[in-house]
Amino acid sequence: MNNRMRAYSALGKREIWEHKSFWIVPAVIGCLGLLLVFYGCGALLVTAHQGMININNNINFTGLDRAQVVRAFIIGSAAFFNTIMLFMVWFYLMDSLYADRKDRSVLFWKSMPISDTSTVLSKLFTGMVTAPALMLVAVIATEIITGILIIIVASFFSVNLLPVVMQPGTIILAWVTLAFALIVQSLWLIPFFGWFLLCSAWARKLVLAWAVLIPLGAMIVERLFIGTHYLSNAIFGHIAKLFTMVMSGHYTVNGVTIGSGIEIGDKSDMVASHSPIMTLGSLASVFAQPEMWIGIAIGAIFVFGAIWLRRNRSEI
Amino acid sequence: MSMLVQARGLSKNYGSLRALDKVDFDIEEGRIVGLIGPNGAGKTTALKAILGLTDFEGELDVLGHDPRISRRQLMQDVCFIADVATLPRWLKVSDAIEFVEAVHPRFSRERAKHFLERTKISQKSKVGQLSKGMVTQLHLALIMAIDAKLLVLDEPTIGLDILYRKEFYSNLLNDYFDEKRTILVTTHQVEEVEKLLTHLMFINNGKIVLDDSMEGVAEKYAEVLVSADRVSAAQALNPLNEREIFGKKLFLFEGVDRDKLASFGEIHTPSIADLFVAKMQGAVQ
Repeated sequence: MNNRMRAYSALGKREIWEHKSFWIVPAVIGCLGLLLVFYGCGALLVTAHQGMININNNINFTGLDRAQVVRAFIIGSAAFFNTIMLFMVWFYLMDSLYADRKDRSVLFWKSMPISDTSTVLSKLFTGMVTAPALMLVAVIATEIITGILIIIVASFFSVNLLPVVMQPGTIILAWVTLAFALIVQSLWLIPFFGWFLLCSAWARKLVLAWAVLIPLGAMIVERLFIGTHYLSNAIFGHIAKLFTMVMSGHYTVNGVTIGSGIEIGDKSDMVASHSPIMTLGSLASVFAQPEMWIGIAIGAIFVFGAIWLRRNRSEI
Repeated sequence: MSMLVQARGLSKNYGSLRALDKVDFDIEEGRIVGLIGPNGAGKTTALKAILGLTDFEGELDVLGHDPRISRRQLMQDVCFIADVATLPRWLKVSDAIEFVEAVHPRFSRERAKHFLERTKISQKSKVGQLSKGMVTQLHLALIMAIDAKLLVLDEPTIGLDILYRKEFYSNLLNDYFDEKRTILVTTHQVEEVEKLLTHLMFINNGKIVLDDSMEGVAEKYAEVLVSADRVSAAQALNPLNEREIFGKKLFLFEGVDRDKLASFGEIHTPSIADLFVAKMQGAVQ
């Protein structure tokens, strides 16, 4: 068992050796973000020094939900990282079972005692877990440094932000929420990830064309010849719900099926949560959605297909 | 002696092309078998079947496994180098060692390092920075550090310069091969492996046309240079092949008594290349 774990961890590392962008890109985004913060703080200090702005040091925090501010900052600042990460994962998965077939190094990987199932699952794991985890590390580091900077700058204006920022419980809970959200997001997107893996294992060239044109073609055929648009609703609705439901957490649904798309039917069926951002509870409620499980089932079929192709048709 | 590979009625079709046509063969432990054939003869298909890289019809047993089903277990005992330079360009040498060590229970880091120390390859280099010859050295070092029962080489030296090619086979023979190891090799450069092989297999149009030990080949096949006046007498013995050299004729005989041939001139054992040409031309006729 220990040997197995060692082999799996080597498979995971292998992906990061090949795709260093999974930690480089979040690190660069974090640095750019910090650069902006530095610039903003610097500009603020300079203008204040020139007496062009006057900050009232009697700012009253009583009307403010301090926890809400910290949560919004911690979760909100991850959004940009996350968007970039999702695009990276998309392109990574399309490449993951194709690139080594193209440069023939698949023959080297296949000469190792690793099952094709382990190989394909290691790619899926990298997209679903490793990439978000590396992103989360960059997000947390960026947030810590930003928080410290803001406190220091505020102190120049005799504003004590410490009581606002220093809420260890809230901060850690927000990070845990963020981590949970990334897990839910990965599970929610499994049908897409599985599809990209399948195309990656299938295509002899132009993986992107297969990955995009087949669903697009199917949608057009459905619309023209059957006159319905279930497929486009399912696909675009699933993506839209990632933002409206999974990420915002604005609608906590109690066993009520929601129609496709952003338009959500009768609001009386919903119990709106207190917060405009996701909470552990709102995220957990996603698991009550049949759509989550249908997506996972479809994703599993695609992943099985990718494994089968990897085993039986690895030559280009 | 145990049997490592047993093929019975092994067949494979690519569309209407019959790449392997009900082939039977055995590979015993401790052999170095050369699988020789023209392009498209079915060599690579046979190797792929043994390595579990392709589906096939018929029976094939490799170390007690059906390669189609238990590929992962099979790869613990079977190693292969398929073609040169199949290591990915982004892989760092030290990472390659770390990876193989982690996934292969029979890999020895010390042995790999020992082999690499004799080359100019730096552990910090990436595969993409190495020359083609060095990539092959690296691949061979990784593979030789694995204590496998069967090593399969598919055109392992193609496109390499002569120094690397010579070194490749001498390393293999001196540092790797012993009576517990078995090597199956395909190559176009038959002269290189000639002195290495213990057994020879010719394949053409999906069929095995020769399968014998090198001693058997030396006994069965004989080459005699015959002067012009004796040509018709030699032809009467039904030679496999004849060609002209300096006004004389060189005949290649299969299964003809050496005493009979001695009267024509000095008898030689044909080179694999000449035997190959003769066999393939025979097949065409």
